Amino acid sequence: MRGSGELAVAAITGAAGGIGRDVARAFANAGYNTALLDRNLPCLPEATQGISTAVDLTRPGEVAAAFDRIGCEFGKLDALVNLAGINHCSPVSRMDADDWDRMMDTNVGSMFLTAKHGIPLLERSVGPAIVNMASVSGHVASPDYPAYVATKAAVESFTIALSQEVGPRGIRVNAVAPGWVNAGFTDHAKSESEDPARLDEAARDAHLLGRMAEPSEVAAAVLWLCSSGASFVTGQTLFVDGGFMRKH
Amino acid sequence: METRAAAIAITGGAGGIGSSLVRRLRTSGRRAVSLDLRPCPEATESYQLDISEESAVAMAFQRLDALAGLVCIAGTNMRGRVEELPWEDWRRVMAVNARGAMLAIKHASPRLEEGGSIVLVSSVSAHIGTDGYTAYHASKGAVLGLMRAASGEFAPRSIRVNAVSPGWVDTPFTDRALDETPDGEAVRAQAADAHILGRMAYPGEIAEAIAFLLSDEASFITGTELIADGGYLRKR
Ligand SMILES: NC(=O)c1ccc[n+]([C@@H]2O[C@H](COP(=O)([O-])OP(=O)(O)OC[C@H]3O[C@@H](n4cnc5c(N)ncnc54)[C@H](O)[C@@H]3O)[C@@H](O)[C@H]2O)c1
Ligand SMILES: NC(=O)c1ccc[n+]([C@@H]2O[C@H](COP(=O)([O-])OP(=O)(O)OC[C@H]3O[C@@H](n4cnc5c(N)ncnc54)[C@H](O)[C@@H]3O)[C@@H](O)[C@H]2O)c1
Repeated sequence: MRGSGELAVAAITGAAGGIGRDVARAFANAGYNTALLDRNLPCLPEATQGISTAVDLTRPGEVAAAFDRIGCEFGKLDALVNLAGINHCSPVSRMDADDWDRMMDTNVGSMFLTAKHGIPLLERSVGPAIVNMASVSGHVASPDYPAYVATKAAVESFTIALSQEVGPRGIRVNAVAPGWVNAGFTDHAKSESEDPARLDEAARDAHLLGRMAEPSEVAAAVLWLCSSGASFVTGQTLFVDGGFMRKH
Repeated sequence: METRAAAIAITGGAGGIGSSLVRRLRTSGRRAVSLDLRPCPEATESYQLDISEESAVAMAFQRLDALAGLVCIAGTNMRGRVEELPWEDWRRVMAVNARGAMLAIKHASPRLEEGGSIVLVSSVSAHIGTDGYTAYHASKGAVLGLMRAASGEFAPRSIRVNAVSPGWVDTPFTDRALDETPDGEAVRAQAADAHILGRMAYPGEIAEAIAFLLSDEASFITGTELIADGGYLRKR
C-alpha cells in the first residue's frame, strides 16, 4: 500500500473496539507499524510491529504523552485514524449536561487532541492522512440519541475544517460514515436487547444491500483513504453504508 | 404566526442577528424574550445569563409562560490552529454553541406549545473550513446534528425544528473575527466578493429567514437547514 521499503506508521484510536480491532489488523496486513490507543489496552495483531497504549483520549495530558511515545518510537506518523467513540441514549428534554459533555469530549474532542499532537508527526511523512469516524447517524432524526447525532455531525464539520487547515501542509483529512456495523456498538445493543434477532432484522431493512457492514469493510475504506490511491481526496466523508442514506 | 399570543424565546437576543429578530417580532406584535450575557432593552423580557450554565438557563425558563417558539442564536468563537488552540478554548466553544443550544431546548421544552417551532442558528461554517477556526466549525456541525435529532424528538408534539445557516453577516460577531485576523481589513474587503450576491447579509435578512421558519407558513418544514448565505457556498 505504502511506498516499498518505507516504514509506515499508523496511529489508531479505539483500537480495542469492535471496528478498531479489524482496522488495526488491516493496517498491519498492509505493512504499517501500528500505534494502538484505547482506554482499554488494545492487543497488537499477531506477528506485527507496533506499540499499544492505554489512554483516556479526553485527557489532554494523557494524549500528549501517548503521542510523545509514538514520536520517540517511530519519529513520524503516516496515518492517524480516529475511531474511539461512545454512545448515550437520552432525548434532549432529559439530557444530563455531563453526559452531553462526555459525548462531545469523547467523540469529537478526542479528535481535536489527537490532531493537536499528531500533526507535528504527520508533517514528517510523505503523503500523510487523517481519517475520522463519522456515521450516517449524523444525518438522521434519531430522537433517542441526540448527543450521538450531534457529535457525528460535528465530526464531519471538524473533518472539513481540519482538511482546510492542514491541506497546505500536504495532510489529507477525511471521514468514513458507516451505517450499522456488525461489531462493537451493534454487539453492545444486541447484548442489551431482549430480542437481538429483531435488531438483525432492522439492520437488514435499513440498508439497500439488505445487511449490515462487516467491520473489515469499514477497515478497507479507512485503509484506502490513507493510501496513495486516495492522494487527491480530502475534506470528504466516504459513506460505507450499504445504501443506508438512500433507503426509504 | 402573527395570530399567536405566546412569546418567542431568543438566546443571543442582544446580538446583531438577535436584536434584529427581536425588533422584527415586536413590530408584528409578538412578545420576544431575550436570554443573553448582555441585556436586550428592546425585548419584552430580558434575562442576563450564560447559556452554557444549566442552573441559570433552567431558572430563566421556569419564569416564562407558554412559548410559541425558541430561537438559539447565542454563539461564540475562538481562534487558533489545532496545534495552538488550548483544550479549554475548544471546550468553551463547544459549551456555548452546542451545549448552550441543547440546554435551551431542554428547558424550553416544557414551555413550548404544540405546533411551536424551534430554530437553531448554524452557519455555512458547518460545511467549509477557515484557518484557525476548527472548534467553531465543529460546533456548528454539532448544532446541525442536534437540530436533526431534535426534529424527531419534537415531531410527536407537532413542534418543528430547523436551522438557519448564514454566510457572512454584517454584525459585531464579524467585526470581532476580522479584528483578530492579521489581514482583517483585506478580508473584509473580500467578504462581499465571497457571496454570489456580492455583499454580506444584513442581520435583518437572517431575522427574516428565522421568522419564516417560526411562522405557520413553514408548517411542513422540519429537520432541515435553510442556508441564507447569498450564494456563499456556491461561489468559487
Ligand atoms: N458499530 C456500529 O454499528 C457503528 C456504526 C457507525 C459508526 N460507528 C463508530 O465506530 C467507532 C467504533 O465503534 P465500535 O462499534 O467499534 O464500538 P466499540 O465500543 O467496540 O469501540 C469503541 C472503542 O473506543 C474506546 N473508547 C471510548 N472512549 C474512549 C476514551 N475516552 N479514551 C480512549 N478510548 C475510548 C472504547 O474503549 C472502545 O474500545 C465509534 O466512533 C462509533 O461511533 C460504529
Ligand atoms: N455574524 C456572522 O457573520 C455569522 C455568520 C454565521 C453564523 N453566525 C452565528 O449567528 C449567531 C449570532 O451572531 P451575531 O452575528 O448576531 O453575533 P453577535 O456577537 O452580535 O451576537 C451574539 C450574541 O450572543 C451572546 N452570547 C455570546 N455568548 C453567550 C453566552 N455564553 N451566553 C449567552 N449569550 C451569549 C452575545 O452576548 C451576543 O449578544 C452566532 O451563533 C454565530 O455563530 C454569525
